[in-house]
Amino acid sequence: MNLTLTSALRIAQNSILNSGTRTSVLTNNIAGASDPNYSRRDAAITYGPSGEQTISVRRVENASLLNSSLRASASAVAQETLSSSVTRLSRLINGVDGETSISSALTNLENSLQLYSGDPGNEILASATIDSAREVADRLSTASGAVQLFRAEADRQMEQSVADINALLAEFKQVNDNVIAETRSGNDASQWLDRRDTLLKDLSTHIAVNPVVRDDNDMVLYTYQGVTLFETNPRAVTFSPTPTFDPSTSGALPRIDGIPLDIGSGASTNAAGSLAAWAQLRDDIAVDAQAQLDEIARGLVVAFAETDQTGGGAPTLAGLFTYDGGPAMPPAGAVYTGMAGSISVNNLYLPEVGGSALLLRDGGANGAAYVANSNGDSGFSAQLLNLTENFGAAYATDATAGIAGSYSLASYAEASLGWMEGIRSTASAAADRKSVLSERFEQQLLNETGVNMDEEMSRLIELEQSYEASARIIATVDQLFQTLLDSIR
Amino acid sequence: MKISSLSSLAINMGLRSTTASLQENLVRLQDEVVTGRFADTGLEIGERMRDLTSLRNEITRIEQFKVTQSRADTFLTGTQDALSQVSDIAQDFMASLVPAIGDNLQRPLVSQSAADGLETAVARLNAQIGGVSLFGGENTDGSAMEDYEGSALQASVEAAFVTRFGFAISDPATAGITAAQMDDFLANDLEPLFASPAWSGISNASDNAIVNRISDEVTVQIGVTANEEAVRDLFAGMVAAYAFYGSDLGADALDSVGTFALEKTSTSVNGFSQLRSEVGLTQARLARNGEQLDAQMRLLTTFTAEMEQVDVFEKSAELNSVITQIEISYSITSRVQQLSIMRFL
Repeated sequence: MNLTLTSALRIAQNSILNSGTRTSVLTNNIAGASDPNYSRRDAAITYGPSGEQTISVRRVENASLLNSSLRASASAVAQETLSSSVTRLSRLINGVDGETSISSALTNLENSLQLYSGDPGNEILASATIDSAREVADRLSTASGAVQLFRAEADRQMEQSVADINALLAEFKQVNDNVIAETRSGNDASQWLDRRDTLLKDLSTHIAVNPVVRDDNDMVLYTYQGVTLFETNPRAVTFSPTPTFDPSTSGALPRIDGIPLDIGSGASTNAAGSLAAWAQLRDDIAVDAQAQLDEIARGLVVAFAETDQTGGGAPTLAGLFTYDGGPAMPPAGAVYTGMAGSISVNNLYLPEVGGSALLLRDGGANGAAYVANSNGDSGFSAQLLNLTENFGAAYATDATAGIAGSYSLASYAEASLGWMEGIRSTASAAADRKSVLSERFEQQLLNETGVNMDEEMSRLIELEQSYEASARIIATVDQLFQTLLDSIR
Repeated sequence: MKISSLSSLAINMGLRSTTASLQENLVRLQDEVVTGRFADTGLEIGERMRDLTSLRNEITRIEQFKVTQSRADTFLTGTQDALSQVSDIAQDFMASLVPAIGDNLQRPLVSQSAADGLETAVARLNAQIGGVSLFGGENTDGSAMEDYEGSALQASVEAAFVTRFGFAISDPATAGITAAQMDDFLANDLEPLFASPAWSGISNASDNAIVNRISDEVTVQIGVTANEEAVRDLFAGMVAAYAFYGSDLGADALDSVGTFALEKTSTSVNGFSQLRSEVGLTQARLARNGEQLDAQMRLLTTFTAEMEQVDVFEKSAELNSVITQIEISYSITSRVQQLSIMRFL
């Protein structure tokens, strides 16, 4: 009888003690309720051989859901990066709604030329046409410069991203070591596990990782390319930045453990994480955009080229528009890299440097053999009419610039604009889709592992009652003992 | 043990993201309802932006063609007007010439009327529109014709006479020239002077008329040049009359000159009506082209509108529903925030 009373006392005492532990777990949960990286802890009760309860704290986890969420978030970040950057690139080249596009400048030039061809003796119209031509050349060079600055910017973003990845991996190493240590010593590693999951989420915005858990909660990280990113120690993620870009520069790729990163492809990109998206922007989209500008520049030089009028077989040479390789013609049907940056209006046509705008009507920028207006008539329009028609004439374009098909100068510029807007539109729609998916996963994960305040509060009430009950038991047992002892005395 | 699978944070985050996306829609819809166009056309239509740009460019090109066209129209109207005036001059000259043939009393008047005719014809043929000579052809600068008096043509006429007869036109010896001699001189020595290259002694015009591009791949010759046959004939007639009616030529020889001048002038009147009908045909062609351009423009404008314009009614309905949704979302947010077990404990 004595013994049973004592054991009742011990159980009640134990219950009070457990209530303390459970209250502390509960308080932790409530404190972490507004932290999206906090995983709810459960206090699991196990019964000992003599009926006493012991509490073990368990961290609620869902590894597969976490992985899906990491993957979805990496894709969403990459797509978001691509979408917003392509929008920026499109604004740089084409302006809002195509207002400052090369295509509109070309149309202006064509219109000036058309007006001028109706009144070829009018020098004001000639100068106006030359001005339109300079506008085209300026826009091409500006756009080309902007594209290269954009690539340099992407390169800097990659550098930053690599630096972030390395910093995150270094911290990951510490946290992972702590997790292992705590797990081995049988302590509660929850706090470190929370931190480790947070680091995983941060890493995923830069590069998609595939975490694998080994003994003692040790985690190994692989990239989706199959390269080891972390195993006991972080693997080296290296990147040599390129400070400035010109159209012929190709930047270095980040290397993980010595293996170059796969860059994303497609407007709805398969890149996961911002690093691959920036690489795609720098090495794919911006390079194509540059090549298209170069093709437009080449088309202009070709359309305005001068041919030998005497039948003497002298080579066709650059006329109104010239470039760094001029006056010789660029090779036909192939991108002349960097032409958009170097295209300019030939000085011979510029009145302010001693040239004459009337060369446009008469020809002959390359010598007497190229003069089309042999009589020197002020109303000679044949040359101007030819030039105007050249805007609509087909020329061989290079399909490696991202646009295949047969184009005229005017339609190529339009196609280039359409190409860019197509990518932008697809990328933006994909970004919406992917971020919704990522949000859903995040929410699901949060629902699985997050804290519900109401539940915790109702548990608190439960605990309060159980504490009261245990205290009552102790008081009762105390009374029993008192009664017993009193009767002995 | 967990009863429900719902975290408090997820509830609030869900509300936040819904409200944010609704607000984004609100901004976009506001813009679309006000402008009647997509807020971001490129985003909306993607690759088809190429077609839209092409349509827009085409519209500005057609506008430019219409500018060229209206300029050409003005030019042709001016040409038509000047041609009719020159034709009137020819007819006036003929009116003074006809009574003089075979009638000594009328002869002195012919010289004067030929002089007037030459002067006014040159003035009319030098007409300009916007600094561009109407009859200069591709040589648009300056005047198409020079004054006959003092021109190289006058010198050639006088030199030809001297070469043929051995004395100048003003010499009294001209009285001895017979009608047959005169006919021969007029046909074989004088007439060739009005063909190239001697014609350039008075005309600065280019043989090539101005060419305008009025539509893609379509060019048209605008107007006529002072080198047309009709102009040459008129001048041949008037120059002959002017040169000889003031001289001492005998009556028979003068009648030869009169007949020659009459023949040339009446040919030129026919030539001018021919030219005027040609110009009229060009004008009609331009008018047709203008209608075509207008029709094309209407079509292109419709296509453009279809691509970039939104249905304002549909969008305002959408806008209203978005506003309602946002209001609902606000009220739910505030009520959910109040929904806490703490208030009941």
